[in-house]
Amino acid sequence: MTNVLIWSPEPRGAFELIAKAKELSLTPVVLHIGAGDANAYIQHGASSVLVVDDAKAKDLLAGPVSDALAAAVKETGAKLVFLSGGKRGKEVAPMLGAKLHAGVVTLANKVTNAGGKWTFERMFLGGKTVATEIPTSEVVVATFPGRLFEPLPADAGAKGEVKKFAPALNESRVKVVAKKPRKESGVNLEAATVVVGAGRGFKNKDDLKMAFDLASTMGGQVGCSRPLATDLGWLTDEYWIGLSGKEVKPKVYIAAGISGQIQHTTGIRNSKLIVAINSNKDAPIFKMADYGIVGDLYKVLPALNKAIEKQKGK
Amino acid sequence: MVNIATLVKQSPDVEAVRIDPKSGAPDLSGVGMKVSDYDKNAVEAAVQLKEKNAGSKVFAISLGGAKLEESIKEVLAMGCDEAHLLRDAAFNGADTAEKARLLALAVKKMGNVDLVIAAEESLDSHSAQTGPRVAAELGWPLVSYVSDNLRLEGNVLKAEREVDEGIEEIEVQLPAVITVTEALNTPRLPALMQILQAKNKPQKVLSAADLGAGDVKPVLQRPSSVAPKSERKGIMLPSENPDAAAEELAKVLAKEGVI
Repeated sequence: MTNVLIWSPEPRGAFELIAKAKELSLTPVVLHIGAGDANAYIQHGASSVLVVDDAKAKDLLAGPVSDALAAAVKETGAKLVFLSGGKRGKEVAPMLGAKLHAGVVTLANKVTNAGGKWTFERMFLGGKTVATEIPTSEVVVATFPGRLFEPLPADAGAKGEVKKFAPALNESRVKVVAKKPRKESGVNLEAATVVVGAGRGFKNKDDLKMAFDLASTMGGQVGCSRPLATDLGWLTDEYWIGLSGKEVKPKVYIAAGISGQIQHTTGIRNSKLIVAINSNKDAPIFKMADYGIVGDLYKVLPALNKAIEKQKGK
Repeated sequence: MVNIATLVKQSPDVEAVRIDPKSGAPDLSGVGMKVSDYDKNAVEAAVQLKEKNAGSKVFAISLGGAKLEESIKEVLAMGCDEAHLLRDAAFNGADTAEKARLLALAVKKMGNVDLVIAAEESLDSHSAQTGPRVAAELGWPLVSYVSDNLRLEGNVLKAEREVDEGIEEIEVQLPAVITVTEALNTPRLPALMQILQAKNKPQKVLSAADLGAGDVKPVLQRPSSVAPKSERKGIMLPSENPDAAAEELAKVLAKEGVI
């Protein structure tokens, strides 16, 4: 069996990758950095866990983490490295790739073994295409988006080896002076099943009430495009959907007054259903919508709110 | 005083790419090339640091093919002082990993660079690998996702960056590599005078021999890039009357089981 080395800054990400590794008939070995319950990985299906307890790695900076992973690849003979594709995984993977001279696949949505070659699919050209990527290096590194795979249920009786691992790490010159939480607004866009996205079609901050009313009727949340969160400052970063903002995966995404720049649409492409309301019939958003209405959102949104209330009453 | 290299990628104008309805392949014919949008956030960051630290210089380094001289003028107009263009037939087979190695060689060859600034990812390939790989190739520390308060205090770079758990305030002694997000700044639109002046700024072309690049050995194949099969429905509802359109949409949403 082939070893796959797994790392995630939080346990859930590792559990997901362990489940996928087992489905691919690979032997999952988890690298765990810091304190916490390393046995949880065994209970979720890992064959073994390497525990790195080194002050140099405690801030999870990309330099020391990729050093530790490179050493763990040597230690275990792993041919694959799976990392969770959050911000930390995405900076660690290419550094590790450079250290191992390995090909790296970023945010793979699919992995298969085709004739002995590990073959991945990922979003390309702003979501317009899906690229197939095949690393040709001896070791293959890939990151995967969170919540792509479902963890295995915990098995309290599962057996596996948990051992200390103390590779020589280089101290990073990066100093983490302070850590602070993001501004809390109680918005959890990633988990929302309905998202009403507001864009430049709104003329005033107060008019956003139409989006909030609709979201409330539908049991959802409001999100926004870049200008509303940055230049205009009508909403906080927590509401920002797009490349540098949140990625949403609701059952339905309603884009209201959003033109559909790629910076925004990369954050909504995994929505199950996309509805676009825009006064410009040539807006790019209509090209990626399931349903479109060409019209003034100031008329359509209140009408839609009423119509949905009526529909729900049936 | 600090010398800053910004990594700039020439990318097709992704918004203009059409999909061939039969093959699902992207049709790049007639699609213009431009500087990858996010790289402008990197250039803006570099130019702002230059403006606040007298005597500093900003270099744009780019690897690409024909018409690169034209695209790169955009960032020269924004305030880069010089362009270093990596061009050689030997680079044609370079993948993300090898491009990063070549960019790092260019930084080394320049010899005087204190800070490399790259975008988080590119407009067309979204690999998000160049910044971290260049840092590893140079053996310099990496600070990714700089999103606020970027500044220099002597030889120390300070900034806020976004990570999975929240915001980190960091400090790093130069030399270093940073990547920036769109949240950091709004790239300036150069004035006509700056656009005209950009034509006279130096552009140097560097070959494989100039860089001492050796053989290009890619580690990643990309055999295909096609439109996903699950296309959106693309149904336009009759829109003449907003009330009727809204009623129709509500019915459709009920049928789809989302309300």
